[in-house]
Amino acid sequence: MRLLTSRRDPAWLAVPGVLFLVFFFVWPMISMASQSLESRRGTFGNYQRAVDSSAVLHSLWVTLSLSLLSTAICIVLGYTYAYTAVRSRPWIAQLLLGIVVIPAAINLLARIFALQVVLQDQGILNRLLIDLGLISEPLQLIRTRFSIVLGMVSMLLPFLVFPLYATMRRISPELVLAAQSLGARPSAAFRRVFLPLSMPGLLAGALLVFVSSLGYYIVPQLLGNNGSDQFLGQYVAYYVNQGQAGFGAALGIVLLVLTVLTLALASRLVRLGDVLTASVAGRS
Amino acid sequence: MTPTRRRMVVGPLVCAVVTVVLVAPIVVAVILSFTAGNNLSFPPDGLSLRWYRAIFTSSVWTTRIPVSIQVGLSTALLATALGALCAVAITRGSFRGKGLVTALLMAPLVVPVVVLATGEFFVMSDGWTVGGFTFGGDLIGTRLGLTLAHTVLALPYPTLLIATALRQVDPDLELAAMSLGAGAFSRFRRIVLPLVAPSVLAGAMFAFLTSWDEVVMASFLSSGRVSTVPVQILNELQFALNPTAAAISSLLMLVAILLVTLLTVARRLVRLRQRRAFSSSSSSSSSSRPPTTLGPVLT
Amino acid sequence: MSFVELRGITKSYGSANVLDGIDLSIEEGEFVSLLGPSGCGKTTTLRIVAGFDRADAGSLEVAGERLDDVPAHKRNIGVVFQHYALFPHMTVSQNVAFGLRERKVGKREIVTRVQEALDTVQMGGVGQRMPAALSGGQQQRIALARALVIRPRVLLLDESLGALDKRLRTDMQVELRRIQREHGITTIFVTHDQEEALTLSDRIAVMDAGRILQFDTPAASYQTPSSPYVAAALGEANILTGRARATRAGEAELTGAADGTAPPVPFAHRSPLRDGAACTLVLRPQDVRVHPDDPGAGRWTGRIRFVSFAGSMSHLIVDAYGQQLKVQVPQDAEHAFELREGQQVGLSWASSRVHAIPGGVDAQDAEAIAAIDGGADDLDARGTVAADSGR
Repeated sequence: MRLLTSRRDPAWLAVPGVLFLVFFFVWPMISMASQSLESRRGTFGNYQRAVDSSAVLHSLWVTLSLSLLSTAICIVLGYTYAYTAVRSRPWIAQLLLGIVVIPAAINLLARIFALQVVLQDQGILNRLLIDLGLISEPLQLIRTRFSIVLGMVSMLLPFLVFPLYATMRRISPELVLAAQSLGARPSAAFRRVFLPLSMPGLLAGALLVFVSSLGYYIVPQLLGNNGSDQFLGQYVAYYVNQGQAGFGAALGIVLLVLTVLTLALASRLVRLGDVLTASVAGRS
Repeated sequence: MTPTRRRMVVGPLVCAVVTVVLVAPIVVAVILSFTAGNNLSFPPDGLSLRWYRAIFTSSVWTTRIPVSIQVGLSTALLATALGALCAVAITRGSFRGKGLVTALLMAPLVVPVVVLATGEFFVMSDGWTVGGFTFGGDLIGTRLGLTLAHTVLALPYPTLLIATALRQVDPDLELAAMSLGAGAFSRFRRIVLPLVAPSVLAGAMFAFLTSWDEVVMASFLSSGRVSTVPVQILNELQFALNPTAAAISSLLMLVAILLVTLLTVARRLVRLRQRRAFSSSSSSSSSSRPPTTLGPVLT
Repeated sequence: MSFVELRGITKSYGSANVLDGIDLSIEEGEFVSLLGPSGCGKTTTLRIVAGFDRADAGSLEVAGERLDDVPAHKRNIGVVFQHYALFPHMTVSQNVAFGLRERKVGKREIVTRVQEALDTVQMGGVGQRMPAALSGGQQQRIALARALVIRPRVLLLDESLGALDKRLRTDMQVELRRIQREHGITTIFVTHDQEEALTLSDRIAVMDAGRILQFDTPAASYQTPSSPYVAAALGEANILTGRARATRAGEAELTGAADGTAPPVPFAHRSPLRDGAACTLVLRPQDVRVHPDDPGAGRWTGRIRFVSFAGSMSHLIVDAYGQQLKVQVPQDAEHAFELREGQQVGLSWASSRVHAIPGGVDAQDAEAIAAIDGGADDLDARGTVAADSGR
C-alpha cells in the first residue's frame, strides 16, 4: 500500500549507507583485485604462481574437503537435533535451542580456547580415555584435522539448526497425520511428506555452513597444525603479513570467487534471502 | 515397530552428544579460569581469583578493554544509524535498484572475513586512489579505522531487523494518524518510531556484539598501541595456553550472556508489540493480515 | 450547492481505469452509502475524499472549499478503517486524544472531550486499557470515537462493520445511525453488503466498474431501479428480457421472455416505449404467487427445482421456460408447507408489481448479475450459493 508521500522520496535515505559500503566494502574488494594483478611476472603472475604451487593446491583441497565434511556432519547431527527438538514438549525444545544458542553467542576465541583446553595432551578428554583404560598414551587430538573439523562443527552447528528448526516448526503436524491416514507407514510419511517440506530450511542452513567454513581462518589457525593442512584463508593472511601482498590478494580473490560461485550455483536450489535471514537469526 | 524405537533412541542420543560437545568445553574452561595453579590441567590445583586480578592489573589488558568498548559503541551507533536509514529506504521507497541495494547491504554477511579484512587493510593503509589523486589512508591502528571496518560487518543486522519491523507496522495506522491531522514528521515521531524502537535497540546490540567479538578484521587493522581484546586473546592463544586467557574468556562469556539476555527481552517486547498491532485490527473476527516474514525483505 | 461535491472524479492505476467520472452531490447531515462489489471503485472514491489518494481528474469540494490540493492531514475529515487502525502502543484515551493533541487543544479540554466521545459510543470506562485487550466490537466503537472527537466535517467509514459477526454488526448499525443522527455529521459509508446499505442510508450510490449507476433513496432504488444491475444489487430480483409490444394505451406486454416460448408478460409503463424495442422487466420474488395444484391458474407454468425452508418463509427456485425464477413464499400462505421439488406449479403476479427498464441486458451486465445472484446480501460472494443450489 503506497502512502501519499511528499516529493521527498524515502529512497534517498539509502544513499549514506550505499556510499559507505561503496567506500568500505566495494572499494576494498576492487583494491584487492588490482593488487592481485601486480606481480613481476605479468598481470596474472600471482594467479599463475598459485596454480603452480602444490602447497596452494593442497590447501584448496583441504579447504574444500574439510568444509564439505563439516557440512555433512552438521547436516546429520543438526537435522536429528532439530527434528528431536520439534517433536519434544515445548520446554524441552526451548532448552535444546538454548543449548545451541548460548554457546553461539559466546566469543569464538573463548570457545576455541575451551576446545583447546579439552583436547590438549593433559586435557580432560585424554585424561578420561586414559583413566578408562582405553589408551595408555595421550592421543594427539589437537592440531589435527580432527580438531579442525570438531571446531568447525561446534561453531557452525547453530547456523544450521536455527533455520532448519524454524522451517520444521512451520510444517503442520496434520500433514504427516493425513499421510498416515492415507496408508503411509510413519517412516514413509516422514520420507514423503516431512522431509521434502523441511528441505528449504536444511538447504539454506547447509549452504550457510559450507560458505562460512570455506572462508574460515581462526579455527584452522588455532586448532590446526599450521603446517601441511592450512585453509586458504590462512594463506591469505600469511602472505599479506609477509609483505607478499599481491600473492595474498590473489589467493583472497580465489577464495572470493569460490564463495560467489557456490552461492550462484546454490541459488537454483535455495532462496538466497533465506540464507541471509538464517545468518542473522543464527546470530542469537 | 523397531524403526520408530530406534528413532526414539537416536534423537535424544544425538542431542546428548551435541550438548556435551558444545557445553562441556565451556564449563571446563570456566572452571579452569579459577585455578590457583599455573597451568590448565584438569582438575585445577585449588581455586583462586588470581588470574582475574591479573587481567585488571595488567596494562596490556587494561588498554585493550577501553578500545574494544569504544569501537563497539561507535560501531553500534554508526551501523544502526546507517541501517535505519537504509531500512526506511528499502521498505518505503520505490526505486529500480532496490534488489541490488539490498543485496549489497547483505553481502558482508557471506563474504569471507579474511578476504574483506585484507581488502580493508589495503584501503586503510594506502587510502583511496582516483586517477592520480589519493585521499584517506593511514587508518591502521586507529579506532576510526576499526569502527569503519566493523560497521561494514555489522550493518546488515540493524538494517534487516528494522526493515522487518517497519514492514510489520500496519499502514492503516499512518493513514489514521493522517486523517487525525498528523503531518509526516508527527506521524514518524508518534506512531512509527515507538513501534520500531525495540528492533532499533536489538539492531544496535547486534552491531555492538559483532564488533566486540570480531577478531580477524581487528587483527589486520590493529597496531601495537591500539588493539582490541579479541586480538590480544588471539595472540596469547597462538603461543601458549595460560589461565589468563581462561579468565578473560570467562569474562567475555559473561558479557555475551548478559547481552543475549537483554536481546531476548527486547525480542519479547517486539513480539508483544507485533501481537498488539495485529490484534488491534482483528481480535473477534476471522480475518487477519498475515504477518510478513523476513524472506520478502530480501527476495 | 451541496455539502460534499464530487465532479468528474477519474482515477487509473497504470492501465486499469478504476474510477470513470464520478459525480456525487451529498447534502449536509446525509448518510450516504457507496454500494458495490470489490473493485468497483468505492474504496478508491473514499480514499480520494480522505486525501490518501489523488484523483487524476475532476474536483472535490467540501462546504464550498476545494480540497484537491489540500493534504490529508489538513482536511479535518474523520476516517474509520475496516480494521480500526487503533494505535497499539497507546491507551484507548490516548488514541482518542490523538487528533486533539495534534490540534494543540488544551489538556483539560482534551480530558473532557475524550470522555464525552467515549460516552457517546458507550465505552466510557475503558480509557486506560490498551486496544489489544478489547473485542472487535469495542475497538470499532473506539475507532469511531477517535474520528468523531475532532468534530470532522465529514465522516468516512470504509467497510468498518465488515469484520464483525452478524449479531454485532446489526447492533453496531443501529448505534452508528443513532450517533450519526445525533451529531448530524455528513457520512459516507462504503460497503458491499446491500442489506446494510438499505438499512443505514438516506441515499445509496450503487457503483460498478468505476461508475455510479444510480444515486437514490433506498426505497426508490429498490422499487424503481434504473438498470438491471441495480435491480439485482438491491434485494433479490428476477430479470426478464424480451421485446415490448403495445397492447392498449398505457399498457404493453413483454414478448419472447426466457427461452422465447413464454407467454407474454403484461406491464404498465410510464415512459413511452417503442413497439418492438428491447425491454427488461424486474419482478421481485416476493411478488410471485405459486399455485401448486393448479398449473393453469397463472400466466406462466413451471416446475419447482429447489425448495429451501427458512423459518418465516420458503425460498423456491422454479424452472419456467428455460429460465430459473426466484420465488419467495411466506409461511402463512395456504400451501406453504406442501411445496416439493419436481412439482408442476402455476405462477402469477400483479402486473402493477412489475418494473420496466428500457433496453436489454448487455453481456457484461449479465455476467455481473449472474455473479450477484448467487450471493444474496453480499455483492462480493461469487456464486457460492449458486453452486450449492445446483445452478
